[in-house]
Amino acid sequence: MAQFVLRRFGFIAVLLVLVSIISFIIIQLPPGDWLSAYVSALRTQGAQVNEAVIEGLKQQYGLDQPPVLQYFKWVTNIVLHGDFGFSFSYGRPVSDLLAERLPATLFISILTIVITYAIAIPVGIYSATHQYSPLDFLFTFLGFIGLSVPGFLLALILMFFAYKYFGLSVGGLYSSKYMGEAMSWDKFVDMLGHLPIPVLIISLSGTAGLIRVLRGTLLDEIRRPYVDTARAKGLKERTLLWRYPVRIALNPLISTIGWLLPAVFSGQTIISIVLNLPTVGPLLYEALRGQDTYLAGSIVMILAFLTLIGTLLSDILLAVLDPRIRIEE
Amino acid sequence: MRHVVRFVFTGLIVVTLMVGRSTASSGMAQVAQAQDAKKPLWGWTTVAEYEKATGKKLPAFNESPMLADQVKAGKLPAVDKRLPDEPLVDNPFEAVGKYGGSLTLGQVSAAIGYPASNFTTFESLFSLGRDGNTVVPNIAKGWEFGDGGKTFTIFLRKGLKWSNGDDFTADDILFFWEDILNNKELQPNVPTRFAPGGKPMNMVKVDPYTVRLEFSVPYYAILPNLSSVVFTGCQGDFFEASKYLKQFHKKYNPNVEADAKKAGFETWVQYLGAKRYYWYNARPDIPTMGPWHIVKSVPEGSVLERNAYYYKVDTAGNQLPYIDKVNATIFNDAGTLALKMVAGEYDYQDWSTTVSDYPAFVEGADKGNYKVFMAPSLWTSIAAYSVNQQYTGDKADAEVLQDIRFRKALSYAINRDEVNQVIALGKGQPFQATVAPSASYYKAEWGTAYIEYDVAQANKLLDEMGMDKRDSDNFRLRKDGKPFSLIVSDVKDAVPVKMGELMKEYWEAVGVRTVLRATDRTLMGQQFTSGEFMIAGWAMDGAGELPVGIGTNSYLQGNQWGPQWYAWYNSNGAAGQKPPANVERMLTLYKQVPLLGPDEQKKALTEIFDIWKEGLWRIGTIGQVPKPGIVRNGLHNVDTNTFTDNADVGIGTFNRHYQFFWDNPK
Repeated sequence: MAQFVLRRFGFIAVLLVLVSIISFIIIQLPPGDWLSAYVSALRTQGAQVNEAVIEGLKQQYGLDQPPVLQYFKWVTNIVLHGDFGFSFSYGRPVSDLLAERLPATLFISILTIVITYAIAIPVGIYSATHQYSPLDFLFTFLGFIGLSVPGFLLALILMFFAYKYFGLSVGGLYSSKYMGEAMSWDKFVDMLGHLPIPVLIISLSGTAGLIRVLRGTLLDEIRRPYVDTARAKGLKERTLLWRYPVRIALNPLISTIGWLLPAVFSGQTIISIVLNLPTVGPLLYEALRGQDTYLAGSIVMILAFLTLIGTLLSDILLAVLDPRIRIEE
Repeated sequence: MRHVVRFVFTGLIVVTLMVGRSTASSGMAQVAQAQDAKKPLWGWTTVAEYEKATGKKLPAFNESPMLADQVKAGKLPAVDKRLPDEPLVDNPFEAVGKYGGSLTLGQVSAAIGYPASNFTTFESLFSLGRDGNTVVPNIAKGWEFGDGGKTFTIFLRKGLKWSNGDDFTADDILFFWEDILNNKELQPNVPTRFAPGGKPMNMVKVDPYTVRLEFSVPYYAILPNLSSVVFTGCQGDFFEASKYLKQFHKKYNPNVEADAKKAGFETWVQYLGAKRYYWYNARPDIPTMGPWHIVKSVPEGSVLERNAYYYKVDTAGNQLPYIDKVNATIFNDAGTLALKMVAGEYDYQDWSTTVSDYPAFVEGADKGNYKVFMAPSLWTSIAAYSVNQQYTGDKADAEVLQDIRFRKALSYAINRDEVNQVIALGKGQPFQATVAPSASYYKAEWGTAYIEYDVAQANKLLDEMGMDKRDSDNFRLRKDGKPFSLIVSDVKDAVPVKMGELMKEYWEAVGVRTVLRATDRTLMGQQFTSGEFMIAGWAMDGAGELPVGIGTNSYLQGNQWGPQWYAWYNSNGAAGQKPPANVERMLTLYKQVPLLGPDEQKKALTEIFDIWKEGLWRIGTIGQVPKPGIVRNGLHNVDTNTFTDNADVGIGTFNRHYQFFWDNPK
C-alpha cells in the first residue's frame, strides 16, 4: 500500500509539470495579452485609453518578456518559495486573493455537498426500493429536470421569482451594507437570508445526478442472488438493505468523492457568476477572460493538484471500504 | 455566457411587462421630470471670492459628526487645520445638505473600478462646469497663459492635503513628470499630449505652490487637457502622491528591489505600478484627492470612507462630502447590472445601462424605491460601422470597401427610424457618426449626410459599381463576377445586441450578402490594428467638442477604419503607410488642432469634419441615445439631466457625488 501511494505521488509530480506547461500555453494561446484584453475591456465601456499609457503599462508589467522566460520565473518561484506570482488585474499576490475567497468558497461548497448527500442518498434508496411507485416517478421527473436544466438558468429563474414574489434580494452572500465588515450576528442573519438560493441551486444540480446513479446501481444490486440468500436466511428487510446492497451501491459515490476536492475549492463557477457569489470560480473565469496569466495558471495548477490528490484518495478509500477491491502491484 | 444571461434576463423582463402591464402606468409616474431649474455652473474658487461675489459671509467651517468624533478622540486635526488655507466653495445643485449615511454604487469588476471609482476618488487639477464646456478651478485655484500660449502657469492651494494628511504641493506634479513620465524604466515615451510640436514640455517649479509649463510652440489645449476631459489632469495622469510613492521608487529607495520581491512582485517597476492610482482601478491605501478614498477591497467590491482632508466646502461652510461611506459592489456584466438596478440595489447608477432596459427600470421603480431618469448622451452613434480601408484579405473585396459608392449604399440602405424604434424605443435620433451637435462649429449637414432610408439609391450606387449581376440566391456578385460576402465583425458589449442583425437585414435587402461574425473584443482590438476585418461596429464616442478639441478622438486619426494610416499618424510617419491626399490633409490638420487658438481650431475642425463627412469611413446609425439611470428616493442634489456616457467629459464631473445627501441619513 505504502509503495503504491509513493508511486502515485511520483506520477502526480510528473503530471503537475505537464499540467503547468499545458495550462501556461493555453492561457497564452488567445490573441493578445492581459494588457490588450484590459484595454479593450476599458474601450468597450467608452473610455479612450492613450497609446502612450499602454506602452508604459506594458513595460511596467513585464509583458514584453518572452513567455518561456515568464513561465520559468513563475514555476521557479512556486517550487522554491511557494509564491504563485501576482495578478495583473488586482496588483496583488495570487495567494492573497485566494486566501480572501477561500472561506466563503469552502463554506458554500461543504454546505452544498452535505445537503446534496442528505437529499440524494435517501431519495435514491427510496426510488430504487419503491421502483415505479408514484413518488419514484416524481423523483425521477424532478431528477431529470435537475440533470437537464443548467444550474445557472435555474439560478436566473429562481432569482427572478424570489425578487418578483418574495422581494428577496438577488445575488451576493449578504447585503452590500455589510460589505467589508467583520462577521457579526446581524451580518450572519443577513447571510442566512441570502444562502437558500445558491445552496438550493448548487445542491440540486448535484443531487439529480447522484439520485440517478444510486437508483441504478441499487436496482442492480437488490436483484442479486446474495440478497435472496440473505432474505431466505430470515434477515430483516431494512437490515438487509442497509448492510449489503446499499453499501455496494455507494461505491460509485466513493469513487467520485475525489472529484469533490477541486469542486469544493473552486465553487460552482457559472452559478457563482450569476448569483454574484465571492467564490474562487469567478476569479478563475475573470482571470481566463482577462488573460491574467499567473492568477489563471495558479488556480488551474491548484485545481489539477487537488484532482490528482482526490483521485488517489478515492482509490485508497475504495480499497479500504470494499474488500473486493485490491491494489495490485 | 453573458449573452445567455442577458438574453434570459431580457426574456424575463418581457414576461414581467406582459404580466404587470396593469401596474405599468403607476410606474411611469415615477419617472423623474427633467430638472429645468437653472443649474449653478459650479461654485467659487475661494472663500474670499464667494464673499465678494455674493456679499454674504461664509459661516465657520463645519464637519461630519463622524469626523468630529475622531477629532475629539485626538485621532484627527480640527477641520480648519485639515482644510487648505483657501478651500473651494461649492454651490450645491439644489440645497445645502445633511451629513451622514452611506451610498451604494456599482463597479464593473475587481479590476475595473468604475463607475464607482470615478464618482468617488477622481479629482482633476481643473474641472468643468455643469454646462460641460467651461473650465473651472478645482484642485488648482488658477492658471495663466503667457508668451502667446508658450507658457502655462498653475497656481495651487496652500495647505492642500492628500487623504492621508500629506501636503499636496508642486512636488507632486514634478514627481510625476520627472520620476514617472520621464523615467525610461516606467514610461518608454512621453505622451504626445505633453510634447506639443514634437518636443517634450519643460516643467519649472516656481515655488511650492506654483508650477510653470513651457512649450516649444503655443499650446492652448493644455488647459482642457488637465480638466478631466477624457479623464485627464487627475492623479496618475498629471500628479502623484509623491511622498507615499517614493518608498516604491528606485530613485528614492535603494532597497526597493528587495521590498518588491518580498511583497510578491518580480521588479520594482511592477511594485510601483501596483501602488499607483488609476482612475479606472483605484486601490486601498493609496492616498487620493477625491471626496472618498478606498479603505478596503473585498471580493464583492470596495468599501470607501470620506476623505477627511477634502478641500471643498458648501455655502454654509460644511466640509464636503455629505455622505460618510460608499460601498461599491461588483456587477460584472450589463445583464446582472440591470437586474441589480431593477431590484433597487443601487442608490445611483447611470453607467453601462442600455436604453432597452428602460421599461424594466420603470417597472421596478416602486418596489425598488427609486426614480428613473433618461440622461442625454454626447455619442453621435450608439454603433457606427467602421469600413476597413486597408482590408488584408482578398484584394478585390478590399477594393469594394474602398469604393465610396459602396459605403454610401450601405448608409442609404439602413432604415434608421426602425433602428431607433427597435434598439432605442424611439428615443434616439437617426444620425451620422460625426461631432456632437452641441459643438460650436457644428454643421447640420454633417449629422444628416446619407442618412435617408433610400433603397433605390443604394441599389443604384451598387449597380454603378458594376455589382449589378446576381447569384442564384439573388445576392450581388463582384465586378469580376465572383461572389461577394460582407463580413460584419460583431463585438458584444461594444454595440447593442440586435444591431448586427438589423444591419444584415438591411444590407441583404439591397443584395449584399452579409455574414455576422461574433468577435471577442480583445481579438477585435488586434484586428483593428492588423486590418484583418471588413467592417465592424463600435460607438462613436469621444465626439463631444472638448475631447475632439484636445486631440483625443482616435477615429479622426484613422483608428478602426485605416489601420496603416493610424500607425502613420501615431508614429509621425515612421510606420504605416502614407494616406491619400484627403486623409492626409485630415490627419495633418487634426495633429495641429490641440495647438491652435480657439478661432483657428474651429476653422481646422470644420475642414476636418467636411472631409470626414465625404469620406464616410464610419457609417453612423442612431445617436444622442439617452441612457436610463436610477436614483434612490430621498437622495438629493442629483442632476438627472446631465450626460452619463461621460468617459468623454470625465465621469463624475457632472453629477457631483460629494453633493449628494439623504433626507434621512442612516
